[in-house]
Amino acid sequence: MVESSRDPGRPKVVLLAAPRDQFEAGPAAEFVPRNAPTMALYYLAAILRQAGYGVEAIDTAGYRAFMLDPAARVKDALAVGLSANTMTWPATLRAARAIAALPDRPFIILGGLHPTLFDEHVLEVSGADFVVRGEGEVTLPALLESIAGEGRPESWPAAGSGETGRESLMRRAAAIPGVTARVGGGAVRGPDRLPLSPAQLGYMPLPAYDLIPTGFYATIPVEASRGCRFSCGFCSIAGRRGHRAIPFDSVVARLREAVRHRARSTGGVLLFVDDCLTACPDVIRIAEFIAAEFPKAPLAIEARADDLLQPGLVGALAACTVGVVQVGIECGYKDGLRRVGKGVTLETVEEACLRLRDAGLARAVNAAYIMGFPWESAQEALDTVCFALALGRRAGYLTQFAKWAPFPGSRFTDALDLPPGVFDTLNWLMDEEVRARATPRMNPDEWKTVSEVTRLLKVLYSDVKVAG
Amino acid sequence: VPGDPNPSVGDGGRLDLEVRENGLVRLVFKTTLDRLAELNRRLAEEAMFRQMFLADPPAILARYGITADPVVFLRPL
Repeated sequence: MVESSRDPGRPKVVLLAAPRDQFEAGPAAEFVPRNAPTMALYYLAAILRQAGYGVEAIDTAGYRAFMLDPAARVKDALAVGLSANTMTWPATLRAARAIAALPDRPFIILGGLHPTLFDEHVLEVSGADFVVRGEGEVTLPALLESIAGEGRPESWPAAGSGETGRESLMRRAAAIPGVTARVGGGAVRGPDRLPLSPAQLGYMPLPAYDLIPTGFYATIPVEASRGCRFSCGFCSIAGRRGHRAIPFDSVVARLREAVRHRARSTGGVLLFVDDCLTACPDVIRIAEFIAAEFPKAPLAIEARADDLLQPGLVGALAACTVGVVQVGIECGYKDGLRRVGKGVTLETVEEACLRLRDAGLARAVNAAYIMGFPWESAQEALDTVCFALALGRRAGYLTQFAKWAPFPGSRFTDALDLPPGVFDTLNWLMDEEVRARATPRMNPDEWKTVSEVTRLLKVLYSDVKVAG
Repeated sequence: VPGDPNPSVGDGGRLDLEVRENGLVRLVFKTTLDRLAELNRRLAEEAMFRQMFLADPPAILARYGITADPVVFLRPL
């Protein structure tokens, strides 16, 4: 955690990303992942610095220390911005409440996927003042600009005619596109803000990599695109059916900056945080650039099977030092892929995996499969397991199985109509009622059947690598 | 699911399902969940049993009510 030098006329802003809870150890115990820092923090830090704000970035690595004495850390700050997804929301909620309970507190601004989905709820339960919905790169500076001259919340005018001065100021902030503000007992939502265009993404300053704690995370994140061309039914990412590629020259600049800071990470891995890097029109040029400039830098990327079949891509990747290619295959039977809306066939998956093998990349491939989709019984889940293992024997990849969990924001989860409060702890992940609604054809006996048959298949396919 | 015309497993603890992939593997389970769990336990804990199993999987599986297609089963690549 490093505070940058700043325009003395500008206040300080604290940006915080909480870890996820470690459910097995109790709902209030955090698990601090060491694989990757939170990219959003470092983008926003760079943008706020450019605007002259002092910025303190507290990533998951610093969360526990922050919670020991939040008052000291937010002292003199105009605002604290907390970024959360559904997994990190419970710990984020605790942090927001801790800040809200301080006698002289800064503004509390929530952002990220989870607060975007549940803006009214998160304001109600956290004591926060604002939610920045969607991408924060433009909205957050605009919001800070609107409140920067008004002092801390407690100093805001307490009385007006009818509405208090505070409410009036909050309403003014809520008029900013992408902002929801807590006003009185409710929430006022400004208009939506359009996602950033590819050109806008290209103009954004380079991430403030210098704020990433040294020697903690295994990777350095880098981004070449956002979103995905498809909208799989289980998927909760923002930007579905809206892939935006960052201009090539800007990607090159980001890569150079990321490599310059590789030594901060423990593994030196360049982690592409793109939802789908291989959908970029320039993906082959990007791979060729990396192979030419940074041939020894290990890469971790996500790829779609159909994208991998475009001429030249697998060869270009093979010329790099690829550490991980995560391929989301999801289903091992035709009807499942159709229901998911994945936009690939089993034949495409097979061809892509074998092509990766033939290029010498089998050891890097993580083939990810999901069991327990809403329509599935044990039979369908086992169709997936069997396909995964049989193809794994031929393709030599690492097989990963996951149970589908109804993360909010996906088409399948929306159909369940779960109340937002369910996600205030991670209990929902283990909740029998939630699981029964999510996968109604799979009772505990069915899951046990899947587990036992999978155990048997793993013996029969003991040459296939299976994670976990 | 009540009224489901195609129950796959779990009828009174009886397993009745088929697992297959592209003709490479075909296993038909006419057994119980407890029997299957017992087979897995022995495979995990008894090295000699595991060796016997891997030497001739269909024979062992048959003892546990699981039919394996002996022609395509574990076909060499």
